[in-house]
Amino acid sequence: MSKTESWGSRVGLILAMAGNAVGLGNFLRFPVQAIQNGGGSFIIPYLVCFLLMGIPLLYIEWAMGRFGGKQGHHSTPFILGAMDKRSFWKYIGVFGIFTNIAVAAYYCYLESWTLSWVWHSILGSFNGQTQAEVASFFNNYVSLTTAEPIIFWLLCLMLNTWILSRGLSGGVEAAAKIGMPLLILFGVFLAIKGITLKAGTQGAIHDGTVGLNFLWTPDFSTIWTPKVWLAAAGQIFFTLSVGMGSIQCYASYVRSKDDIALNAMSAGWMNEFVEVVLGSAIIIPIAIGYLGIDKVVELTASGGIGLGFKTLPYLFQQWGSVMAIIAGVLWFGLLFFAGITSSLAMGTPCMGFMQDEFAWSREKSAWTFGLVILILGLPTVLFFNYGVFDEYDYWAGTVSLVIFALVETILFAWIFGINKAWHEITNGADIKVPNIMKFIIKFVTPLFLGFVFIMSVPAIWGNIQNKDIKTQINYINNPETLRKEGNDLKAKLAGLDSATIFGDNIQTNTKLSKEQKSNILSYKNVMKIFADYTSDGFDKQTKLKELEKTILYKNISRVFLLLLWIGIAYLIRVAYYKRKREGRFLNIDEKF
Amino acid sequence: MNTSALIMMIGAMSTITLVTAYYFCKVLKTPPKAVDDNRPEINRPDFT
Repeated sequence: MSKTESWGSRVGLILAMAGNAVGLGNFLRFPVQAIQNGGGSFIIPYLVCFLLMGIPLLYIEWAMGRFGGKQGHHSTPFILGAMDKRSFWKYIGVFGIFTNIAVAAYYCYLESWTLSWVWHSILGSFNGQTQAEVASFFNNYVSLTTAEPIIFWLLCLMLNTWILSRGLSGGVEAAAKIGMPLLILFGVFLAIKGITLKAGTQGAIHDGTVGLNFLWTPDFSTIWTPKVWLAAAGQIFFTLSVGMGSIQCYASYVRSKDDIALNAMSAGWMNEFVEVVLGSAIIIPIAIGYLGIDKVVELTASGGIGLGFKTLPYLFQQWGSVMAIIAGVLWFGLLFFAGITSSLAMGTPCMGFMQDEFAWSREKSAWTFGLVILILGLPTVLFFNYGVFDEYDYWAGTVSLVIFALVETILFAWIFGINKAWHEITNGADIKVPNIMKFIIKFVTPLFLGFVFIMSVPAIWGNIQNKDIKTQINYINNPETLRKEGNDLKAKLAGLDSATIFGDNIQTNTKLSKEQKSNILSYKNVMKIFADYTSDGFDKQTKLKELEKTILYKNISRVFLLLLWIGIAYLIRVAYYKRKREGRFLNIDEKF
Repeated sequence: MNTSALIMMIGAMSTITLVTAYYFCKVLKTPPKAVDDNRPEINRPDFT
C-alpha cells in the first residue's frame, strides 16, 4: 500500500474487517464444535469467551494498529517496537507476519477447493453419484490424481495476488464490498432451505428442525468441563482472526482521530451473526435431515471439512438437478467468499512491511507475497495426505495465535500501560466503551489467555512427539491392544443389550446417559479400526511405511516453518538497522 | 423442537442479530469526522 493508501469508506473497512474474521470455520468448524461440546450449552462458554477474550482482543488489536499507523507502521514488528523501547518486541512481532504467511500458504489451497467445487456444481459432476462416490471424488482430488487441483490452486493464488496488487480501497475493500453481502445472501437462502426441510420430501428422513434441536439442546452437565471452555476459547480465536496481526494491519490504515471502538464492535458482531445465526442453520440441519443424528455425529468426529465437501454435494442432489446446481454454487460460493476475504487480510501485513521498510511498490509487494505463498504452499498441496497441511494449520493457525495474543495483551495492558492503552481505545470513539473493559483488559483477558495456553501445553507436547501417529503404529503392530481397549469400553456398557449398542438413534435415546453414548461411539470406532487392521486385505507394511513417511513430512514442515520464522526475524533485523542508518525512528515521540 | 433448545436458539440468535444490527446502523448513522490525517510521512522510507 503506498503512502497515500487508506480505506475508501467506513462501511468498506468494517466489511473488510468482518471478511477477515469470517472464514470457512464459521460454517464448517463452529457447528461441529458445538455438537462435540454439549450442543446448545456450548453457546454459553462461547459467548462468555467472546465477551471476556474476543471483544477485549478486538479492542487491543484495533488500538495497537491505529497507534502503529500514526507512527507510519503497518505490520506488527514495528507496531510492537513503537510501544516499548526494548528491542525484543519487534522479534515478538515476527508472529504477526509469520502467522499470516504460513496460514495463507495452506488456506489458499483450501480456498481453491471451494472454487473447484463451484465449478463442478455448475458442470453437474456430482449428478447421480452415491455418497461414497462424492467422498472418493474428494479423496482423489487431494491425492492429485489429475492436475486440476494445481490449476485451481494457482488460479486462486493469482486472484488473491491480483486483488492485493490493486491496493487497499481498490482491491481488498472492493472485494469485501462484493463478497460479504453475497455471502450473507447465500447463507440466508441456504439456512431457510435447511430449516424448512421436511421429512418425507426429497428423500429427507427428518425435518430440518431436528438438526437444530440437536445442536441447540443444552447439556448443562458439560458446562464446567475445562475441555468445553478450551474448545469455546479456541473457536473464538479462530473465528475472530485475533492473534494473527492482520487486524493491526487493517487498523493501521485508519485515520489517527477516527473511531475504532464502534468499528471493532460492528465487525466483531457481524462475524458472530454469520457464525452463530447462519453457521448453525445450514450444514447440521441439512446433514441430519438426510443422514440422521448418529451418522452426522460419526462424520463430524474428524471435523467439518468432510461433511462440507464430501457429504453436502451428495445431499444437494436430493433436491433435483437444477436445485443441486443452485445449492452447490451458493454453498461453495459462500465458502469461497468467506475464504478470499480472509486470505486477502493475510497478505496485507507482509505487504505493509515490505512497503514501509524497503519502499517497495504495492504491485511488487503483492506479487512477491504471491510467490512466497506459492513456494510455501506447494508442500501442503503435494503432500496433503502426509499431514503437511494439518501441521501448518496446527503451528501457524493454532499455537502461534495463542502465544501472540497472550504476549500482545501483556504488552498493551501492562508495559505500554493501561492508561495509555485506554486512551488509545477511547480516543475518537463513537460509542462509550464500558469502564469495566479496562479491568477486563488488564486482568481477565491475560488470565484467560494464560489459562488457554497452559491447558494447551499437554496437547502441544503430544503433537511435538507425534503421539497420535505413534499410537496408530502401535495399534497396527499390536492389534490386540485395540481389542483390549474395545473390551474395556464394552465392560463400561454392561447392562446394555447388543440391539441398543449396535442399533440406530443412539444420540436421541433418552434412556442412555451422555457417558454411555460417548462410550458406544468410542467402542464402535475402536472395533471398526480393529476390524480394518486385522482384515485379510490389510497391507500392514504399506500402512506402516505411510505413517513413518507422515512423521518425516511433519518434521520437515516444522523445520520449514521454523526457517520461515527465522527468515522473517532476519528481515526485521535488516530493516531495523536500515531505519537506524536513515535516521527514521520507531516511535515519533522517542528517537533511537 | 424442545422448549429448552428453542429458548437457547431464539435467545442467542435474536440477541446476536439485534446487537449486530444496532452497531451497523450506528456506523451508518454516524457522520464521518472532518479531521486531517496526521500520520507522519517523515517516518517512512523514500518512495522514489
